[in-house]
Amino acid sequence: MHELSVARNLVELIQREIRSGELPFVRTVSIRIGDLAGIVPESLEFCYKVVTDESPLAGSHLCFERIPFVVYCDHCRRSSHNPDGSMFCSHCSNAASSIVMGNELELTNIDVATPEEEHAWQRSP
Amino acid sequence: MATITIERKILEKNDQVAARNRSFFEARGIVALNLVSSPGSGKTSLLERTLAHWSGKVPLAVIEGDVQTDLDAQRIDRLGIPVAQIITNGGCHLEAHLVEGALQRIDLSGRGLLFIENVGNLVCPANYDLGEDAKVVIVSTTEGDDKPLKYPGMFHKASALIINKIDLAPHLSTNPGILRMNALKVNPRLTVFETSCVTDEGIAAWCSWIESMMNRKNHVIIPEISA
Repeated sequence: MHELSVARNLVELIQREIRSGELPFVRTVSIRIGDLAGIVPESLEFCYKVVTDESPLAGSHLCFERIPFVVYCDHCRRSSHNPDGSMFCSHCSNAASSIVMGNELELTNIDVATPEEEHAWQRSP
Repeated sequence: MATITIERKILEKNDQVAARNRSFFEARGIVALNLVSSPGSGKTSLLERTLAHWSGKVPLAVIEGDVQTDLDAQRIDRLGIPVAQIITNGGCHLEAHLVEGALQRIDLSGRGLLFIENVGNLVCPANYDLGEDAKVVIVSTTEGDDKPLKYPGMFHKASALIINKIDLAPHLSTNPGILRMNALKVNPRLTVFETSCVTDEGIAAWCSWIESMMNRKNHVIIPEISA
């Protein structure tokens, strides 16, 4: 259940990255998660809500981009998408030489409402 | 609506502290090994056998990570080896800042070996670099032979695999050969050892691997250190 720790790190990173005055207007937080990063998106979303409750980030939500696990083979110079986490080339069966993607755990961008949008949003029923 | 592009690792703060720990070890010629496994794989017993092998030959220290109690630290302390216990109070893994804090609490001689026994968990510790030279994953024969396939993330990050409790294999349906094959499927670069803390099988081979790690940091291992 390290999603709670990841959620806390995420909130600290957001606070460091954007000016505090803009924090009340954060709507969407986009993150990139590799299939082998060991993160359950639903758990992270839940923990994020808990961590941001009654904070300037309350009401913002996470948007996930899933990254498949892909390895590269030096023997046949091709990439393999291996959902099971295997490090073997699916084309020539040799041991793959490197991981191309699939371990990501990154904050990519944040959507922030303008003060006018925020005002209109708060007034909407 | 405006989009602010950030593109940063979520655990970058942990990585920064891990880099500080790594510099600390590098400056002192310390080899640090992060031991990871499920609960009950025999990490602490293996550590006791490993410490017995190295005792008197190189300076030793241990950081113990547990959700609760200092029982493991007591076991290491009984061997007369400097030890710091980290109690995570529910936390399922060690983080770099916890290790950095523990380093202030132990007498860590230079050119020695530091073992960090992580919290028993095959998922979460994989994400947190502690600044170690290598992660060593331990799986016991009582856990079955499919663990590497179920928890590939941890096996990807490890440099070595220890199949522990090998003395029990004849009494179990676990096939150590299949366990090894499954681990190498996930990470072909793993160095694999089979050990028993009852018969001492494989302990010497595992300690030889540690010695090769130390040689890489230009260690001089002397037969016995005078008390």
